[in-house]
Amino acid sequence: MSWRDSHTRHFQHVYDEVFPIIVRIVYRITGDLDSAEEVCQDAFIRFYERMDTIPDSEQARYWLIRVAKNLALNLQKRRGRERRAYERVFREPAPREVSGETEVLKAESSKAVQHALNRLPEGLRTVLIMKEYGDLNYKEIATVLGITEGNVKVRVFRARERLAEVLKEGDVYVP
Amino acid sequence: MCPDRELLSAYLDGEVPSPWKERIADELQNDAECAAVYAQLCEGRRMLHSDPEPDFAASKQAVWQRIADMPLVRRPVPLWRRRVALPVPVAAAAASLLMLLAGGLLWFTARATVGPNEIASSAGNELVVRIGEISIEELLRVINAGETVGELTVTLPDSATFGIFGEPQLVRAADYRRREPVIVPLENPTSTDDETHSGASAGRE
Repeated sequence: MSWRDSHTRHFQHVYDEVFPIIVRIVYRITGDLDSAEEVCQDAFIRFYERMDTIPDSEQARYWLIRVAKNLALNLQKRRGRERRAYERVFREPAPREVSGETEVLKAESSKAVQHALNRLPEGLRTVLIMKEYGDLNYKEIATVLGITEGNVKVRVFRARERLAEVLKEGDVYVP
Repeated sequence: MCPDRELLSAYLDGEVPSPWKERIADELQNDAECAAVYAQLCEGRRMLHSDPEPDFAASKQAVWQRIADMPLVRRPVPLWRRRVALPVPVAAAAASLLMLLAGGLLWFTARATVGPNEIASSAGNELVVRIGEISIEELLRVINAGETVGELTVTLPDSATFGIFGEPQLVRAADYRRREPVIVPLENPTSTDDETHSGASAGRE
């Protein structure tokens, strides 16, 4: 087996293992599937370019989750800036979501969950998304974010409490 | 007693170890109020997962196809930045071996410079020898071969008695005004003493 073949096999192994995790996390951060796919693609291309520096599959997993999470958050912030600029120019509220949204976000229940999550502070939201949708345990989340397990535990709890408060406010429809 | 909500949240995530998780399970069965708090947390989780997921399997296939169609180029990594995966036991053994070799090399170098009988204690460039444990010939050999020794301390035996033999060439004198010892030749003490005093007074001025 040539070096190139082993390289490709390693890449495919990491892709098969990590893609289902990061696509779920990124989808909940960005709120639409097209953006999630775009972010995942970008993250894996970056990983391919740096594969020599991240030879271990376990480290690759954490690296990819961290990079994809950061890319998704950056994308969301950029969209927020664009929306505010649009509102300033045309003096009217722009649609909250860009074109090409999936049918999932069009559903009321989906919007309710997404809006509730979006109202959480970034530090709490990311941890809760990784726990609930990425199915990562506290130790894995701590490794990805570079914080302690105790901190993860506290953040998950606070995120749940804040989410419950948002729902109690009554402006979120829960199916 | 019902655990606090934070602990219940960790319990919901399966992050509470035994025997605490069994105790919490018992508490949830026996305490209705506690069970209600836990039910709220479960409801929050149910809400988060009530949203149907899109077809991620199709996404996985689509993204893979897009990546495969792209002309990807790996960035060349300099040799000194490449990482090498090494099992911990191997790394520990290599480090131990390296330290052993370095220690052995140092010891061997020290032995090669000065013989074992001649060294009373040695630290860095300083060498201490004891008269009585080695002969005068050996001491002279140490002094002559002592290029690597910066400072040599010769310790005389406590019980030995010493006398003056022959005509001493040097005497040790001290200028108490400057509190510094001055070595002057015995044969012409007057001229040197004058020079010393003149130098000392010039220094004071």
